[in-house]
Amino acid sequence: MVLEKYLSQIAVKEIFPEGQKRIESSSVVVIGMGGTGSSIAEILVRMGVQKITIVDNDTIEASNLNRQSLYMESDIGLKKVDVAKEQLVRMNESVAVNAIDQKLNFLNAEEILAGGDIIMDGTDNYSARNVINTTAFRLRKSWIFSAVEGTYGYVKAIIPGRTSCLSCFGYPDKGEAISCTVQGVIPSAVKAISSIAATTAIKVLIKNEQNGDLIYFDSWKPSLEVMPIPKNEKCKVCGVVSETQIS
Amino acid sequence: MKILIKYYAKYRDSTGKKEEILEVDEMNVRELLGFLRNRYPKLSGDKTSLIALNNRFGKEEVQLSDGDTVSVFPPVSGG
Ligand SMILES: [Zn+2]
Repeated sequence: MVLEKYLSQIAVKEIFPEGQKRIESSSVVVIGMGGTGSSIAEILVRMGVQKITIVDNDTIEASNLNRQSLYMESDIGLKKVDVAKEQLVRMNESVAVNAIDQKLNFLNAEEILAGGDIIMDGTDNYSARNVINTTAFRLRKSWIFSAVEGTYGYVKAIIPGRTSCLSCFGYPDKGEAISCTVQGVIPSAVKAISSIAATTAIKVLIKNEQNGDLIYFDSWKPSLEVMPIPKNEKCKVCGVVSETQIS
Repeated sequence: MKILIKYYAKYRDSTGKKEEILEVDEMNVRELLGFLRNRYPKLSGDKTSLIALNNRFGKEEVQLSDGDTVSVFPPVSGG
């Protein structure tokens, strides 16, 4: 551990002293390197995560630059994962970045998610989250759901066997992305949701957090609500029936 | 019976309200969503909505009781 780099966060009692070791020994997989994914990756790598896999097949566009802070004007047209990898290593030379230039789907998900201690959701659509939710449950991997639009968004920890999953409360499982330029989103809301998601991940990694409440945050109002989501025994992903079918 | 309905995020624009108290017949959570979609057609823009009963997300078959609070959220997808 290069102590000096992390002095300010180690001084926080929630991290000190074992937490930092756990952060540094954790392997994180970030699916999607857009607004939330790139911000979450930045926070976690700056905090000391030394093994990160980033997954995205998009190229950088001018409309990304207001909120996707890993990318610069001169990067327009380049692959997100290539630029992100370079930037993350510049931020913290201790990190090993595995850049995967693919879109997550049911064919590649198992191999990609298997390498993570925790999976971070940086996706922008229902279908991709359904792939994460289903595959992570099968692999018994914890993941952090995050979604944002307009001025507000959600974060929820999903810990197989302990918390409810994304399907337990009726979150849609189909539907492709609506472009952020159509749907609209303010950069500060993206950053706020990403920060909550990164903090939630750290809690799962270092404190064995078992809380799966849904966090709703509106950066404009501003307001924050935390609501319990009980497990749904009839859930088609994590319900008793589907669990029996899998095992 | 009287139910307090709270609207979140873009649903405040869809309904023009942050919250309201509605007098409704005996019904469950899912039926209430149908009732609200009839009352505010813009809510039907989403295939589904996320509904918490007394600040807890759960089963849509649960019958409502007088004095319940129902919170209605859109299913945010962006990232
Ligand atoms: Zn479930």
